[in-house]
Amino acid sequence: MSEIKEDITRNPFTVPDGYFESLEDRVRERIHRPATPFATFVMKAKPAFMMALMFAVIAGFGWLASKVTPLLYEDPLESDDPIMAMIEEGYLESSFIYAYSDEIDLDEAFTYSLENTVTIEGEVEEELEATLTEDDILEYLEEDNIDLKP
Amino acid sequence: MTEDKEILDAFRQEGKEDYAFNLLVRRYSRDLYWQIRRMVLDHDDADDLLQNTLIKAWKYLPDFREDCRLYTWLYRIAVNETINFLKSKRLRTMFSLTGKERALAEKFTADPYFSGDEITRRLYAGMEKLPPRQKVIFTMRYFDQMKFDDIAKVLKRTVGSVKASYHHAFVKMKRYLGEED
Repeated sequence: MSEIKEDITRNPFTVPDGYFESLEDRVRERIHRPATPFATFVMKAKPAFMMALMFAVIAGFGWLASKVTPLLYEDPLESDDPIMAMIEEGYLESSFIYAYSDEIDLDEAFTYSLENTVTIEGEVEEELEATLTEDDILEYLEEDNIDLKP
Repeated sequence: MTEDKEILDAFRQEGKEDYAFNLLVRRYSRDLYWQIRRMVLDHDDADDLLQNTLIKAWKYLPDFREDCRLYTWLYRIAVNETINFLKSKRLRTMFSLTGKERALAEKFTADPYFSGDEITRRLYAGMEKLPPRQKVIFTMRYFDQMKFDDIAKVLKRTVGSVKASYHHAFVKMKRYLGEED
């Protein structure tokens, strides 16, 4: 640093010829130069623009919050998921359906349950018809003292 | 001080504002220019900053309270302008694709208004690495040999903070120049 300090008295910079001589005129020209209408407009409109920008930013945050908040606090019971809907209605046990939901085809399961319900009822009727006779019924009614006469 | 009085008296007389301003420019523009130029290196930047300084001086001269020398007041405006410029330049350089070292080397090579030797180039290259305020304080102290009290007055900071900034800058410069050897 000391070695360098010895050399600092020499100014390594120069200026274009006549720079300082013309400086007065150039500065005065800038001082008295009338502001362009656009520059005047910008200067006047700047505070209003900044305020409008601030309101726009606040409104933007509000809109963003209104979009994000429902996603964060969405009620799972309002889901469109058919499994969830069936659980909500009490048709399914959640533990069961979650354990097997990957393997169950809902349409197939529903169709199957309808078909099998009919078959089961039919089988019951057939079995009853096959095992009970008219005499058995009358005997049953007499034993229980049920009077069928009007 | 008599020169200051002449300029200020003329400025307060109706119709003599331009004359007073010419006196001010003639009296102080060279010193201000070289101070600014040492900090920003580039002539065009220094010219812009000097003109901005003088235009602000014209605008705010009626508010000058004469609690210091006119040159100190002008110098304070110039330094503030320069610090703001260096801060914005530093920000622009951060996003520049060209490396800072390379940009500086190209600037020195291409600048027809710089005639420094290798030692001077190294010194100014090292100064470019300093944060704006440290750079300004280093320039004022190292090149202009200003007292810490005067630097503190110009920058409106405490003497302690000026000394600390200079110390940090000096250590960084020493390390930088040591690494270069």
